[in-house]
Amino acid sequence: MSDRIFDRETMLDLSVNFIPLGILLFFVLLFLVLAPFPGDPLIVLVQMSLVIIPGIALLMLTYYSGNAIEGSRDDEQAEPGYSEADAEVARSAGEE
Amino acid sequence: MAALVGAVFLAALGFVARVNGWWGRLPFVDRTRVATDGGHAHEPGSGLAHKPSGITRWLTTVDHKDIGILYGMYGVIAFLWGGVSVMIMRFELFTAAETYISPEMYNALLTSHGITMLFLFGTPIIAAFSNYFVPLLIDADDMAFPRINAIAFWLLPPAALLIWAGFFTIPLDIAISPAQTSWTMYTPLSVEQSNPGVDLMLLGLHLTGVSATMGAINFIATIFTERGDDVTWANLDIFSWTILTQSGLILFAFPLLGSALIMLLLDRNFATTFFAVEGGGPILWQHLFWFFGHPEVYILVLPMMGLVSWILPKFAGRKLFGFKFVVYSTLAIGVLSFGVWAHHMFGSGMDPRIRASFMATSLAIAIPSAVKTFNWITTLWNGKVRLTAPMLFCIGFVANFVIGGITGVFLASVPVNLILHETYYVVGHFHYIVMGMIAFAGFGAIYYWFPIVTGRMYNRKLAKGHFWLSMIGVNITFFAMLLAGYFGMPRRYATYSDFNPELAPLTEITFLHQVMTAGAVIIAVGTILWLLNVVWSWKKGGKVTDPDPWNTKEYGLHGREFAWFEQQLAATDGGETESESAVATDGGADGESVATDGGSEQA
Amino acid sequence: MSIETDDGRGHGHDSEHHLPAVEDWPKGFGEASWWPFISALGGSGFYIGAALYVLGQGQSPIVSPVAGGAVFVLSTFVFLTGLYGWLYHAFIVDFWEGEAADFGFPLKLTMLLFLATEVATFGAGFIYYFFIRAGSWSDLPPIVADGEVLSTLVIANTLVLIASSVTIHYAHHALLNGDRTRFVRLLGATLGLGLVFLAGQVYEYYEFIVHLGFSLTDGAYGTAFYGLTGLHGLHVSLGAVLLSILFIRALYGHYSAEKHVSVSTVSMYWHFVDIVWVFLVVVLYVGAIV
Ligand code: HEM
Ligand SMILES: [Cu+2]
Repeated sequence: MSDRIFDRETMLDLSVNFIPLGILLFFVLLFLVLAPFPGDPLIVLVQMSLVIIPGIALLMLTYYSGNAIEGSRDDEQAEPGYSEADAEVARSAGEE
Repeated sequence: MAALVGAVFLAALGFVARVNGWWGRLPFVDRTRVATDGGHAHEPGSGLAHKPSGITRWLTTVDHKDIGILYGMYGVIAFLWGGVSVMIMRFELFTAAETYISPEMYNALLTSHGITMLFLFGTPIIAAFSNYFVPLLIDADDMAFPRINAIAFWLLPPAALLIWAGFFTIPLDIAISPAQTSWTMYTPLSVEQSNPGVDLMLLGLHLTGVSATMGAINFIATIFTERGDDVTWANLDIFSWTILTQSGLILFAFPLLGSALIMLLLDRNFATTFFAVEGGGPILWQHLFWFFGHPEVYILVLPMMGLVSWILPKFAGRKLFGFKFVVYSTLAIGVLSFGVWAHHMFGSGMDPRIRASFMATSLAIAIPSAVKTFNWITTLWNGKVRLTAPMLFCIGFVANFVIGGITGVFLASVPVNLILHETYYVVGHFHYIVMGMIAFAGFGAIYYWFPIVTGRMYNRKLAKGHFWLSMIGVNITFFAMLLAGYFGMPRRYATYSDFNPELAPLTEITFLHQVMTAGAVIIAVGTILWLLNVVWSWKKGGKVTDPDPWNTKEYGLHGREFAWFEQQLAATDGGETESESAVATDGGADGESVATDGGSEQA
Repeated sequence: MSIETDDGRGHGHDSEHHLPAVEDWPKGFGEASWWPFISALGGSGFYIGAALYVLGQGQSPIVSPVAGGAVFVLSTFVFLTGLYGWLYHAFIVDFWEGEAADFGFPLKLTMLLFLATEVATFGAGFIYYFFIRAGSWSDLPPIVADGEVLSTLVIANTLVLIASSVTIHYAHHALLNGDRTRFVRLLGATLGLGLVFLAGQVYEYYEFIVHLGFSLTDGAYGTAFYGLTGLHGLHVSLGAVLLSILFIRALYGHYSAEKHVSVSTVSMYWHFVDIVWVFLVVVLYVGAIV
């Protein structure tokens, strides 16, 4: 769904969070298929929400942080935590 | 929680809403560096002249670096008391029967150890690093609210007095004794203990929560609004990311604990029914406590993961592998940690379907944790590893996380949990993490930044001795705990002589306890080495004159905080009396002036 | 000791620099200030006071029963002094020299973060209520059994609070449109409505406790009722204090279409408190009798 919003490289970065999402999805499906206990709607609702709500929250946070991070990406930028001036020092030092 | 945080923040916000004389005149208003609470702390060259001297300086400071040091001192004092209390317990457990201390004393020490280490050591020691270094790493002048920052710290010493009050009053022989609730403060036990020492502890805990919450708001505001021009979300450093996430967790976890603590206090003193059987029942306490408690463990470990992600690459000679993976998985842990709390309550009689849900989320949260581990290992792979003391602690951190994390995943699976719950296995699991990771990362960071904070270098031989003793001690002690758990040794017992031998074989258990005590002694010796080293080197260590003591420039890994340090060295050059002949960057202490802490390179 | 020299170095910005607080007490230390320490002392004093109060209870009190109250009052004084000194020296002293600049974002963000913590603070109480509501839900006090808890007083009070949210909203609008008189009037109305609400709450407590004999210790519902309405009442009181500050400053002409951040933040807070109240009425009053 978000394919068109993020480019390939970003999707690769975000893929790290798709794994836990996948696990959550797997369990939701599992709970739907395997329900050995007599149905009690309230409990099933709680059971499902406990997995689905964190999943949605994770999806949303991933989306927004992905947007914020990619939105401010700039190839000229210094590496995370390194100051611009210093990155130059480092570059010239590395060349020696 | 509301009253205090609220009053401070709202009053500040209420007043601040317009511009004041000094604003407009500030040199960097154009960069929208705003001092939001009147306590802007940044001193150009003339700084020294502005700082009062002696104790006044520390009581009145609003400088994030000073406050960082104060937090550090506080955390270390708490760490020492936590250590002493646990050593007394370990000596008692050397033999199966009651020997030195009463079971009541044991319970009191157990409670104090847990509370002290988590609330008075863990959170403050992280605040020490984040206060000192986040503003430097994001190129901010200070925290967004420097004065609120100071208030948040000064709430902590009274909190510690309240929490430890029960011990202070022992010699007075009045009717206050230390709480015996264990750190989880489970009801009905914690309601029924009529000892007012419990009330004092609860009040103190609430106060630490207020402090942590104020700090968290401050950090989020700082990271959102005070970043330098060239620091964006895309190149925000990993430590600040973890502090941001941690602060987000604190925002919800601590106020909720605060309310739960007040409810407990009301139950104890005003006969309300929050956790009484006819009201919410003991299970409500467990839910509220663990809804705070599980995020709390990540509140403690995430910033430490951030520190390791920051320091480890420096000595691996290459950038952190998969930086973005680490960032996103940090955020994932942050969110998911609110959805797993009941894996601490599998044994409390929940509906099996709901247990299954918590198992699912607990397995899901293990993934981002594992991702980080792979990133660290990959960073090390083929790197030019230099085994300095900070690096050793980082590697020890990763190694201990492998065991701590895997045991956690086992515990998160319901069938395994039902067997191992309330045994030493659990104690082993979380000590691999709290001691093997949180304390390790703290030590590593202290060594790494020692030159910046003190201007001197530590003694590297002692530091390495400290590492090896800690690493060996941790693995002896806590691995023995895992084994004792397999043998069925339940946790929180002062004596174990009258257990059913069918369930817990006495010989093996006794042997394992003796091993644990021996391991704990090793850790203690290591810690003493560390303490001596830090105190001595702070005063007498070789002065650091090289702005790049870790030779990170060579690898293109020079961080902003050391760039700042370089400016400082340049600014004070000649200004400072160089009475002691400045030795090279390290080892000044032991005479050898080898570059950068034994930078033996290994391909 | 090297600590002394280490940290005085400060940041590397080399430029002419004015002190954050122009004056300070007892004397300016540059960036340093006594006020945070004093405020923290007062703040912790509340806790010490509460601790002494607990120690002063029971058959054989360990300290004098008045000690707690005395320390509490003293702490309030210290705390307020701390806050006042801080704010006075940091902001008020040279208020009129001020120029406009936009630093609304950090402050509004901070208010938002604070409100997030409030969600958690209230959350714990509501979770308790849901536990008992979904649990046995027995042993109910008569006022719930015969539905008296949802009185016309509560409904009127709710309308009052909602009205106050509307007035503060339009007050802010008026300010942004440059209509100062209207702004001051609407702000005053908001404050008035807030006070009416508080009076209504006090009256309700009085009715319940004195006439209907329903109190905090009246079973699981009593705990929930007084716990939640009490917590909310504290918030409204704090809001009323803030509104009073706004109002006084508005009278002094401190706000304008450009300088209005504290109006926005206080109004965010006030809306939040209002929303919590509506939720509270729905679950705690209506929810108890349906
Ligand atoms: C890899 C992810 C982790 C999983 C799946 C996990 C799972 C668990 C489980 C299921 C328990 C409950 C054991 C029981 O009482 O029966 C537990 C206990 C505990 N875990 Fe973890 N854990 C993980 C990581 C961590 C981390 C990172 C920390 C600390 C920073 C931590 C700290 C604790 C603590 C303190 C307890 C004991 C609480 C108590 O009962 O006193 N865990 N863990
Ligand atoms: Cu957990």
